[in-house]
Amino acid sequence: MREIIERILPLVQKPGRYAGGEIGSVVKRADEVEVRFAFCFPDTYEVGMSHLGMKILYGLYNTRKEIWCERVFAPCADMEALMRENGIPLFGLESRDPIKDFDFIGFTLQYELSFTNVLNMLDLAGLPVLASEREALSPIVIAGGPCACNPEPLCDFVDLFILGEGEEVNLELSDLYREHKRRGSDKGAFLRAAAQIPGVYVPSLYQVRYHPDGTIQAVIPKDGAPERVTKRIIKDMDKVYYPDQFVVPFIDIVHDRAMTEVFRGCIRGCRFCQAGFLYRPVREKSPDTVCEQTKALCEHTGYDEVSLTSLSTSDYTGLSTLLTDLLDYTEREMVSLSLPSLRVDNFSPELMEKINRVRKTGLTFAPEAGTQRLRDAINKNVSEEEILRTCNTAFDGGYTAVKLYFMIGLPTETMEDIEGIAKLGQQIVNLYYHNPNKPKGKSVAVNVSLSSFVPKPFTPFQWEPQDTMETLRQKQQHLRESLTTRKVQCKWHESMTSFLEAVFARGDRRLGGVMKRAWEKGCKFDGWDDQFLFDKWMEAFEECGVEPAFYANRRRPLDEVLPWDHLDFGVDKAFLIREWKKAQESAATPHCRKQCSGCGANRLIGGACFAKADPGVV
Amino acid sequence: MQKPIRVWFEKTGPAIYISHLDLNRCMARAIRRAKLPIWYTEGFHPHPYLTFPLPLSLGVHGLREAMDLRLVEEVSFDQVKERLNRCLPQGLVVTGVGEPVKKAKEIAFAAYELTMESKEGDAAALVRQVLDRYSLPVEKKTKSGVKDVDIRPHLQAVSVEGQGTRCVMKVTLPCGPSLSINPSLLSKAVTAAAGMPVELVKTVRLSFTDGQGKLFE
Repeated sequence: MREIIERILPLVQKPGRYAGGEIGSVVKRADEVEVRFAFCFPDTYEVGMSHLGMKILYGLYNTRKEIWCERVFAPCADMEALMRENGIPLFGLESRDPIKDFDFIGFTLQYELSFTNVLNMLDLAGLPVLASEREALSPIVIAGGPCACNPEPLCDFVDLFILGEGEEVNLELSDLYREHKRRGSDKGAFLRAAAQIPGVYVPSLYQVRYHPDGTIQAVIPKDGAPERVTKRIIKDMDKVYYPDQFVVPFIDIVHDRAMTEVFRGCIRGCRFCQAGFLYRPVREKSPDTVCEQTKALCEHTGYDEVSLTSLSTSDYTGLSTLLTDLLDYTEREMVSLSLPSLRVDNFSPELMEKINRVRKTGLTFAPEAGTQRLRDAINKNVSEEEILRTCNTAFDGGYTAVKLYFMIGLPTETMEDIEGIAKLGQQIVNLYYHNPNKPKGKSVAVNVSLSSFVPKPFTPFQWEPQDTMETLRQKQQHLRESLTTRKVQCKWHESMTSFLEAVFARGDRRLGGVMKRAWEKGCKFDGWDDQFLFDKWMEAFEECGVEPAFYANRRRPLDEVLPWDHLDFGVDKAFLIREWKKAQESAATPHCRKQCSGCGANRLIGGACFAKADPGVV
Repeated sequence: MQKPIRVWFEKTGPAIYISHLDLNRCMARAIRRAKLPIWYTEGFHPHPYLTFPLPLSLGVHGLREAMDLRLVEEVSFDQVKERLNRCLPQGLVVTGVGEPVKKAKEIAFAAYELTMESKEGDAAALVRQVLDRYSLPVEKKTKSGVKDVDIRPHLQAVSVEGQGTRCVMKVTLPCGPSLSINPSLLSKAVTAAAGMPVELVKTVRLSFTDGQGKLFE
């Protein structure tokens, strides 16, 4: 088998995707470990290798002597064809052993449009895609990541899901598995025991009953499985494991740099943002921890670029202290430091000056909506004044390009809000030309990137219909017509992919059959515009008698049982309803440090919310 | 201070899948991990200065490859070798470090060891038979388009050994600025002349030499 792999590698594009052998990759002896774990990212090497969660769990698993965790990515079309032709089953990059012989096959679910790749990878591994047809104890197919918050569409294929943060629960699961493996348990016994671990959801232990109209009547647990499964959360970010080494790829990947996570959660509560609710409450690392971890990573990987990651890095309370300490190191060592996820409301000239000392690239901000009314409705608490001031600061500092992210199809949106995007772009252009400090003789570029809004579970918009594809196209067209300058350039995503994303984001178990059918028709890599087969998907829906608009475009009543209601991510439904109501009134909610809104997530860490404002300062 | 040094290394195993462009980045990172005091270019985006006298194609093994860099502090050759070897990925091994003697543009020939396979019959006999011919015409893609070249006169120091379906050919090919013949072009020519597929299963570059056939140092 190994020889055939060597033979086909020279025949494919970028063999470095499949060759292994990178610095930081972990090779153990198969006969010296008890648990072999295939960490699968259902997309290409370049995408998967850029993902921080995989780096954390890969490092964590491999710190345990008895576990060997390997990486697996979705092979590209040329490699897949050669693998199928030569009978090479999907293998782990480190050992090149077939993953069908591993103990765990774990998928990380980062976006809905990667679901068909999960099926395809199981099939490439030589395994039945249906969980019910995999009868042996191993391999156990597990999945986690943000899309596991509504895993229902994948219940036919995956044996169990991990809810929330994985650093503790994954090891508990592995320990339980070792016990069962030694005892010679069967799969059913192991799954029933696993369901008792907090944060583990075993879908086969839950029965879903439907009303005649297709909505859910009830979800009923059996065999002692808990009625509600609550997500896992790490309490102390300074104590939790963080890798001091990454696998350093040979080929160029999407984010090829060291990354240090500065905090989890987000204080903002933007109503469209699923991550902002799923990862609550905010938990920060101390600047010392971030500084040490960053240095260790740079030294062990040899990276000359590091980014400080989080959902909103400029909200980090220790940012100023951290930058002062870290910039001394990064400048001395010729490392460039990047801060993604900056906000317009706290982007100060001081902060810009600090970033400028390292490297000047384009600036990106996300106003998300074109008018103040709509920004209030989605709780994106930035004012037009702040956006303009920030752009001016940037122009003062020598920037000539800004990139702005917007969404269309937001709840309560009107054509006036769409025109607001064009107006805001024009205002920024005008601002540039009125700025006496602008770079001499240079034009300005305002790049507007538009995505279509997809309502997601566990957000205040989880009951909202998505705009139909036709409405979205009309809105795109209207924006195009509202633009009067070429200095503002617009780019948008296809509304068809957003439609499918909306179906699966809030889907239920009946979508499993559709997914299998679509995959059989050749659907995979659905997130890639060049490979997305919308017509095949529509055929699959039709053949299975499932109406996609039921999931994407239907307004749900507030009292409907939602497919994910038996899963608990810490945020109370009552809070989400309060936020939904405020959205209808275009009323904003202050961020967590200004005022606690009582979302309920702090009960997960024992009551004390770290983001909670000092009562003296409020 | 700027002291130019030449690093000799092997590129085998999984490292053969590192492309030339990626090799530059991979070496730069290894040098950073090894904390070698390397000279950085002085520009808007300073980067570690590294050059490779003769790039190696993706998938080809190299036993005596060269990389040039400059040090800004005194480090012994042995130290450079030892520290780099601790930081290189599997398949990349520094075999020696020295002062650059010849210039990169003096390189004219490269010696290869090619493992070839013919599913039908005696590979060595087949390849020998082809090499006995007077000419070996093949289409070569150049910057100015496709042209026919006869590569037979440019093959030097040819030997073929092996039994069964596999054979090993040793050959020296021109790789200078005026003419360069890639081993895959040779296998294409052999296939065309033999009238049946002769597959190149392994390519090893052994060393390179100057116009007089003297080892590049």
